[in-house]
Amino acid sequence: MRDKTLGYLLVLPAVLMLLAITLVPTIYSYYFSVHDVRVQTFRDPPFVGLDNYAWVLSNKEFWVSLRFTVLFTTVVGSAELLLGILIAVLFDRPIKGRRLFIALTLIPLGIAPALFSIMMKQMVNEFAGLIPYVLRLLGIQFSFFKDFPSTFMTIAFTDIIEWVPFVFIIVFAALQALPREPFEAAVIDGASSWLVFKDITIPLLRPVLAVVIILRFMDAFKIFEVINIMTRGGPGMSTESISYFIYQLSWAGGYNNYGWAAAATIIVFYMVTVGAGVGLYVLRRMKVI
Amino acid sequence: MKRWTLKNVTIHVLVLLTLGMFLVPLFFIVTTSVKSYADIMAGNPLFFKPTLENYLSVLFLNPATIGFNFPSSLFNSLVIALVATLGALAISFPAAYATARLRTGGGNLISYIVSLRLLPPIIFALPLYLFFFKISPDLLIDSYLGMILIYTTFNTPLSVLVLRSFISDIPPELEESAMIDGYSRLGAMLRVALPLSAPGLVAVAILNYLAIWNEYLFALIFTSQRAVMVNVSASLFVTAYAIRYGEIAATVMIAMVPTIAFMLLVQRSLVKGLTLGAVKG
Repeated sequence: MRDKTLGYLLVLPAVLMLLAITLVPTIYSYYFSVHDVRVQTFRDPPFVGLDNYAWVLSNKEFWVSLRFTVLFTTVVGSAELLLGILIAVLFDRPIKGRRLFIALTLIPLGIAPALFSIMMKQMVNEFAGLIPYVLRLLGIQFSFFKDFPSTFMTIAFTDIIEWVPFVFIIVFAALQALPREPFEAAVIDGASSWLVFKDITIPLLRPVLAVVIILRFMDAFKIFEVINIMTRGGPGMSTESISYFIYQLSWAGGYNNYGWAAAATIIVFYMVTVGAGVGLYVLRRMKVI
Repeated sequence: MKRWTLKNVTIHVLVLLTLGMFLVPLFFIVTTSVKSYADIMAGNPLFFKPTLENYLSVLFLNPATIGFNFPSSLFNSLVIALVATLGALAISFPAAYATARLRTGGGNLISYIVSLRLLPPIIFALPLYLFFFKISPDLLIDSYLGMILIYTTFNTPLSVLVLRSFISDIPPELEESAMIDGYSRLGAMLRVALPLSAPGLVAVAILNYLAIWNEYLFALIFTSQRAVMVNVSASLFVTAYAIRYGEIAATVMIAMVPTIAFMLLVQRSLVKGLTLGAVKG
């Protein structure tokens, strides 16, 4: 058998699965997005043209959730990147018991985001939580889900603790693999540690940082568990994320309107694609990748 | 002899702060899970009388109260994660081999696969749900089969990327000499490349298993009773018993201890897989 034929045969199972589970349903959702699809009309949904799209684009909740998701992604993505790099640099030196410390730091990576959210929700619980207990001892009254700023802070904090270890371990592994010569030369030349970091470490890490930035920002945009478990979009609808909004439209919000949800899905798909394209362009212009 | 300079002390303080940030929530949930309700309300994080009542209550809870029992969701997650992990490996290895060695599909196939890793899963959730519903709700929704299909597929992209970089690191001469000795290309793949990729297969299996056990969105949307998975049952438990803090903590502990233990045991492979997936993906 020629290699070319064999190659196609070898990728066939994976490609068939991917097409069946991702592409076919996606094409199918275009059909739903121009029909009035609800449980009652599921068998024979009437054609409604672009009504579903118009409904989504004129819906306040959609824009609120989009704005929240972008804000959340920017804040936690930047914070995780910064903290992850700092911790990686901190651990990139001979510290007693480093291997154990690293193992412990990685624990959040093994915890499901859903369980982590439950955990943090308990941590800040007014009656049973550790943080309010400590604050009470210090004589401070603080409500973690009172308004938008406090709620935002609580869920951002949760996401940051959960995902800093991911940035940390990848940057740390990259730091360990860097060649030692440029650093030794810089030290001989008398460069300060800040200069070494800025002019040698960061440029050498650039390819890894680019990937981490893309992964973390794309993943932060998917935010769902923290919202569904900690806030349910509240107070009001101020912390609804895009994923949560679509989930509400189809399953949980009492709408049960699959036509609207399909239209929202398609709009979000194009927004993410365009957004990621712009993001990549900016990263290239800034010479990060 | 190490000197306790200001810099040295600062570094140690920072290391401890970092560890504290990650470990205090864990410490809190461990202690809450072994506290009685009175001790939880008293709040003292260090002094209390340990008890196992929360664990017993969770494990032997009357299924009628929340529609399913917690131990069965552990079993569901275990079976689904194992089968889907193997499924993803079985279809990813040949695809990774073909794209790495035979350049099948050129860059397009790989870009398509990468894009699937990056897009938000909610984009696929609704179309897939309706698609499954149209084919057969009984067979595919709230069933092992449906969940296994979903997880096999969504773990294939990263598996292909990581395995691909493992295979690229194997010297091609080894397969070439096997082919001179009379093996076909397929034979060389199975007899030479496959065994040499064992560390890669292990790393990918671990990544996939953890990803499936920890997944929430698809599990929430596609399972409700028959195939309910562990994170969903834990979160339903929170909704049903908002103030039974000790039992909630015990649920979280039971659901996460296996993955944490597993992760610490296989840390090296995991880190290798994560790094490769990030750097070469």
